[in-house]
Amino acid sequence: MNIVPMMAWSRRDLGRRPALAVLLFLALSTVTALVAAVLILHHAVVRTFDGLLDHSPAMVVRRVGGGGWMPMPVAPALSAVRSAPGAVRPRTRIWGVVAAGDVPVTIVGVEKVHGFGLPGGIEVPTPGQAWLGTGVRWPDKGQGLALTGRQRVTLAVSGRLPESAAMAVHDLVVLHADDARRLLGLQPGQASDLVLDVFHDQEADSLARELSTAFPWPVQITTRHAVRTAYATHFAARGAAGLLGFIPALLALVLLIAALGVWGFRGRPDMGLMKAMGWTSGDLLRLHLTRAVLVGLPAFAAGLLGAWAVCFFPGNKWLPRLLFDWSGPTLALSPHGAIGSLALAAAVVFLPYLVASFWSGWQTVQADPMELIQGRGQ
Amino acid sequence: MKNRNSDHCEGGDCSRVKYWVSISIILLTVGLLAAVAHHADGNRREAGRWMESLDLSLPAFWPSGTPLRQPLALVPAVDTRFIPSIPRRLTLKIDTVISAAGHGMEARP
Repeated sequence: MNIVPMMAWSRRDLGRRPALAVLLFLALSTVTALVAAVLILHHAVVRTFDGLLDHSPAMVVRRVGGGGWMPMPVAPALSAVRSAPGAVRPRTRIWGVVAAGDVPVTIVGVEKVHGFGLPGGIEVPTPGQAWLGTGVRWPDKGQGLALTGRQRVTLAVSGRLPESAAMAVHDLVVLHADDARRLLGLQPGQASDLVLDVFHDQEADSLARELSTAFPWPVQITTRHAVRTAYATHFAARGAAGLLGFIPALLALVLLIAALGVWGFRGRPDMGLMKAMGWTSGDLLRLHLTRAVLVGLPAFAAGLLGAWAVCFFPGNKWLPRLLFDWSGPTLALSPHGAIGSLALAAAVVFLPYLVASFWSGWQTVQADPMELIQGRGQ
Repeated sequence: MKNRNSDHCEGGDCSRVKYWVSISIILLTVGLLAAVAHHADGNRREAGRWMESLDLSLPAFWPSGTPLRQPLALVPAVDTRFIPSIPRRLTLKIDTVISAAGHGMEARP
């Protein structure tokens, strides 16, 4: 039978039982949205994280001692690293974690040397000034921001860092290097650590081993590649744990479809009548599948669209709370490559749905027409 | 037989209206998705610029002071699992090279 009249039959048949069709639509779209959201989120977070990591230094060298990290003397450190071929643009950082009230914040010390400037034309802070990320609480707006590290320092707030950069600077305080040193207990000429770039990421591991003996003190060297690998493992574990939660949902979906099929088809006299009037088993099966697709495709489309909107629509404040357990930055996740996740989600839900629909239709067309007419097929 | 839709449209008008409504909805959806992607692209570029400018090692996905935000601050001897039965392989572990002042090196873990 042609597909067009088959669709008309299916549409009318669905119209006769709208409540069932709506129930099936809601169940399918919800399960699709849940599975797709988990898959897309995992992919998008990993991709976004990786993309941001590309902007981080290729290598971090930290001086360590028996008690952990130690301040790094700037001049000897730079001298040591410059002796190693392949180290590009070595520079020191002044940063650490201090308390803003009862909340830890990350501070980064900067100063206007060698043409250094902050993005977006933001003024480099002078001593006593600070720029705050959008996530840093600043309760006493008239009195400056009090930070507590080795010392308690109160800074005048110059303004907020841009919300659009919140994924990098959400709970960051950018202040002058001298203020940062006071807060972190560093002496002039000392820094927190040293970072450098490499020409090719593949060189980083061998350079790290070479650099490890170049310093006059014990150092800990971390490459961007190692960080990327560690977080990929972390994200994979989180994503797998999230997907495990949907196995019962998928099982429930299959059971729901099977129940709908058994209830809606095996006991329906009109199917028996159609069979008795000359519809072949193939026609009835096609009718059944067409009806399933008529409900299923819009439901999948709605579910996938909903998952897409949930993951990528700007201003999602609940996402960081769900993913990272805090009211962190508004995430601008990367949708690139999410089509694969969408396809996987569709396959994970759509294939079981098709199989279940086929199974229930097959059960119907195998029954005797008289049994169907008399309702004995239930 | 009388068309069910004959009260609302005549001849091929109805199918043409449905066609254009469908096309409009698809175009609107695609446009909306493209606008969202473009907006997110701008934010990621901006965040990348700040990471480069401040030499940040990690984005601010997690709160300051937590192991995932500052993983290198962890002391290897301190177990950060909140339940001892959680496998150690599930905790964040970054391979680092540790040297001992010119006396060779060892890899952790």
